[in-house]
Amino acid sequence: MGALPAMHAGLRGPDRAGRDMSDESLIRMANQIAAFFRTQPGGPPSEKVAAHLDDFWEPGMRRRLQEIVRSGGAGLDEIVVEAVSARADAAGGNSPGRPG
Amino acid sequence: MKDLIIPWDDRDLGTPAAEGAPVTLSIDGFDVTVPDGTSVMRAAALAGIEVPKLCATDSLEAFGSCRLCVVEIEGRRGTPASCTTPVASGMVVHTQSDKIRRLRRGVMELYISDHPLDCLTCAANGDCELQDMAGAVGLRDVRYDAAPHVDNHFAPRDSSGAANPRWMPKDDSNPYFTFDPAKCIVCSRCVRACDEVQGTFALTIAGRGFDSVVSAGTAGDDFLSSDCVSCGACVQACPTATLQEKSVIELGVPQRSVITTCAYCGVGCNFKAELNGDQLVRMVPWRHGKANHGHSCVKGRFAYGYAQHQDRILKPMIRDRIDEPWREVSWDEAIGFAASRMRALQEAHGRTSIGVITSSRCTNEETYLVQKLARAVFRNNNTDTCARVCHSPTGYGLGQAFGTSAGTQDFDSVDQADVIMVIGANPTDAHPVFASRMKRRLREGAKLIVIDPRRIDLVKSPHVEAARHLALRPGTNVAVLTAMAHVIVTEGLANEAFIRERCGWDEFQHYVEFAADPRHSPEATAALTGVDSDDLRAAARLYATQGNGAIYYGLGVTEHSQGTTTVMAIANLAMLTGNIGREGVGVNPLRGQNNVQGSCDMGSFPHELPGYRHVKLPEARAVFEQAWGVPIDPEPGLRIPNMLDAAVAGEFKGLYCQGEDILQSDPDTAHVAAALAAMECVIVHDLFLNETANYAHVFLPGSTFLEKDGTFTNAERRINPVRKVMAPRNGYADWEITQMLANAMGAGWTYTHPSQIMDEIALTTPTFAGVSYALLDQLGSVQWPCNETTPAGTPLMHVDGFVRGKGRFIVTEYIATDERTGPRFPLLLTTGRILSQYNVGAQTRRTANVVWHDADLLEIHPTDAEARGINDGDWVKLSSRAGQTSLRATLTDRVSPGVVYTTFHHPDTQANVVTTELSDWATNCPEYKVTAVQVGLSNGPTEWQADYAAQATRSRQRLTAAE
Ligand code: SF4
Ligand code: SF4
Ligand code: SF4
Ligand code: FES
Repeated sequence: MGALPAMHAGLRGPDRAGRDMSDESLIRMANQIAAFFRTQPGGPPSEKVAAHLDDFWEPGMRRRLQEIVRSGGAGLDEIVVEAVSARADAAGGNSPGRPG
Repeated sequence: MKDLIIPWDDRDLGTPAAEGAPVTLSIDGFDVTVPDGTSVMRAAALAGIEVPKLCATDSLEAFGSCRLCVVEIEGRRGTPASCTTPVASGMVVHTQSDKIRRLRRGVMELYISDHPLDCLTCAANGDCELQDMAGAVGLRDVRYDAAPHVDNHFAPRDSSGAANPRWMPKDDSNPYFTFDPAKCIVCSRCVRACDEVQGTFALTIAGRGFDSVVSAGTAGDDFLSSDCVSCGACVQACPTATLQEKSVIELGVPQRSVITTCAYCGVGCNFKAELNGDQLVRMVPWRHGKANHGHSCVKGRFAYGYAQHQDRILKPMIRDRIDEPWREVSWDEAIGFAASRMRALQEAHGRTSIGVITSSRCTNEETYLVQKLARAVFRNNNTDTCARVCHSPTGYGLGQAFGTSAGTQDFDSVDQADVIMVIGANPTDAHPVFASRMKRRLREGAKLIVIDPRRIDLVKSPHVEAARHLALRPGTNVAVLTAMAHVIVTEGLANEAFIRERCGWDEFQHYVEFAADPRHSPEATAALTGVDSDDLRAAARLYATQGNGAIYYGLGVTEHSQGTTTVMAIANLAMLTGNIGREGVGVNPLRGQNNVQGSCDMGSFPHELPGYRHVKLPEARAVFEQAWGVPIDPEPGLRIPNMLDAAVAGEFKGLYCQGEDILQSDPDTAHVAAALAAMECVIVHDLFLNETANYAHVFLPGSTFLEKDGTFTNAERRINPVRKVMAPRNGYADWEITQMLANAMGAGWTYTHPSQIMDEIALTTPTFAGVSYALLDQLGSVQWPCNETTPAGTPLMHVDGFVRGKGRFIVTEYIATDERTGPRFPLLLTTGRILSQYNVGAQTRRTANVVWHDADLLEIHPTDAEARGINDGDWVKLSSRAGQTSLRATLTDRVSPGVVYTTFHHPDTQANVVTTELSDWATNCPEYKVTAVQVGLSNGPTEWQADYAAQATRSRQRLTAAE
């Protein structure tokens, strides 16, 4: 890439506050999903969160979310942690794969 | 470029259709059977007998002022006007007799005596009803000698040179049409069109009798300064050259026409494009258009000049790096360059490192091909569309509740509505033709509830006033709608019979328990929502109890962190009150762009194949695997915001973006810019070097809707034909360009006409199974689902049962957005658009529509302005935690204290510099409608705007000379 104009620097990006911007996004989005399903009756919310992630999140994003969980899951809603861990177990560790 | 001959009758039958029981009468010896309530004039016309007329036209109620249409009726005295006389059983009518001919000639003689006789050089020559009628009644001489020495209104001076006090100069103020009072016959068709059809009430007849004249607005106004919104209904209704399109004055009366569909908004108006050769002369809304019934707005009728604008790019261009100037190259070179870069990226960074963005502006066929490019050629599901940023929550929310991702009604259904609830939509600006229909119904007595932070025009306009306006705090939709449900549930207003029969009972139980909780009462939530509890209760009772209740909603619902939840809350209200499954009710998303519905239908979303079938379903994949001969990735791909995040993280490298300006239209501009800058191959396929193109490596010039065949699907699921009116100036229709790119990447596609693409869509997508170009030619348009059981389409959905079986109530807990006001950013910004401009404005800014809106303004309440020392017209700085921009302020109490509002039509304002990265929980639809901001005085553009302008200029440089 050529030199970027000043307007691209500093605002938001991979390097802000030493943390990956897309991680911040993933955590926020996952927590929002958890917040919705927490309020829904019938069945454990973590299962619904897991199903929602399977249906709408690209595998790379799910994989990254698993890594975040594995490295302590800082900032993640516990329902997300539960949902992601359940999938990881089902898939025998690393893969974000679908159940069944 | 064939002219389309459709067997539609375009005759003006004089008065509107009636709907009574059949009545038989005799006209000039022929028996005619027509519905009771039909006028004698219309009955005659239906029998093929044209009664001369001037003040009557079938888009307007009969008025009976010109008396040219007199007839004789046996057993009745005198000569009644046929336009105002209803038929009666056994009536015997004569439309011709010596007496009638004499009377009609007398009438014409009077008209002509006060009309200039310059027919040969008149702009309406050949297209003038006065001229036609003079011929029809056999006018041969005019005994009252008019100009120049007797009283008339058309000569500026009399023969002595003295000024004629009755003469008025031509009004040229409107950019698209002129008003020449000298030619006016005071038939009042224009006034009635403005009142009845458009509902703006901008025109009046001033003065009486011989001195009466048409006037726009009040004394001293011209058309531009009046309330006129330039819809053109009056121009179309005018029988003379008094109101005349400037394009006809310049180019002559058009000689051929093609029926097509407007490419601006989701109303989907059908137009007759009228031409001389391949010169477009005017667009006339088509009287048989099922969405618009012969009406249109200023954009569709007049704002097509962008197609010929000098800024339009007609040759492909490439560059290695975005800081280099563009190089014009051949199509082959551009396509080859793009294809090899994209393939190289996939080789270096993986199959999923590239993707596409389909356009809601392009046709269904084009969109289908772009998502097919991702799925069948890139072999991934990285496809998304700008619907992501507007109505994706509609898809998910309605899909969950009803089982289908679309509005439930046709537009005509509003004629049966008794209570109309408008939520987060501004139809008079964003869906003007539908707004006119709605206003007509409101004038007939339907009640209106508006839920919007801002006092939109509908709340109070001539002859329309909302029964309730709930001016909620931005971001509290869910709380307000749940409070309405609370009132309905706790006051026993729910329609239990409907719910028992049609909805899931267990889920309903959960829902009732939730909604009845006192913490959801209007009183408990008033402090949060800012809505008076009495108003809210009254609105809930009105919706639940006063007959057919219809909900219309827009982006003020979807573009929130809780957009999906709000859509669910709306579905709950409709089910709770049984307002679904028949005429006059329903849940109706007002779609923004012309083909938002279509782009969603066509599988633009990364998790869904065409027809809303999830990619995880083996049976859905199998259909396409068979049709396309490739395996389909069973995992969802990246959505637009995910693509951008992944680009910043260095994982997403190449993008083919068709007809969409994400840099201007997507939130958090700085982030979008950083993401685009991080990509290694950005292919922009568009009409103009848009803002996104500043970051592109390949520019593929697009074609306009006038230059290609295809279909658009409007907000009522109506598949409307788009027909080629002229050859593409850039050389290729957009579907051909996508095909060239696909083939350069090895696809081997062989489409030679978009109808073949539609055939493939019909073959693979059950809801489109019956759709073909032949059917569209035959029916004019068709609403999906269109298949074996519904061969003529489906105007109303969920009539006997929901698509998903039982309607599903969903608990809608209010979860506040993370975007909060505080000491640094104490105000809430919400955004919208206005009538004359269209979204990012790429088209409308390149037309004369700029006279109505040449810059985005910030609306701020006088109290908030005063506290900041801001006066009307001052430059102000608008800042949020995402960025800052500056624009001029306008003081208005349309917005409540604490709320500011702006539009996003101009790139130099860039309202999206301040909008944030927050988005809807389920769909990532960005939260455009709530941003915490601060406003303060400023001296002019911010540093960011200056930087941006400089960067934009640099990156638009082109090497056009010999290289
Ligand atoms: S253009 Fe439309 S709004 Fe303006 S005066 Fe004519 S009918 Fe009324
Ligand atoms: S302007 Fe045209 S439509 Fe209006 S009163 Fe005059 S002639 Fe009739
Ligand atoms: S912009 Fe919308 S309302 Fe206006 S003419 Fe086009 S489709 Fe109709
Ligand atoms: S057309 Fe009937 S009175 Fe004018």
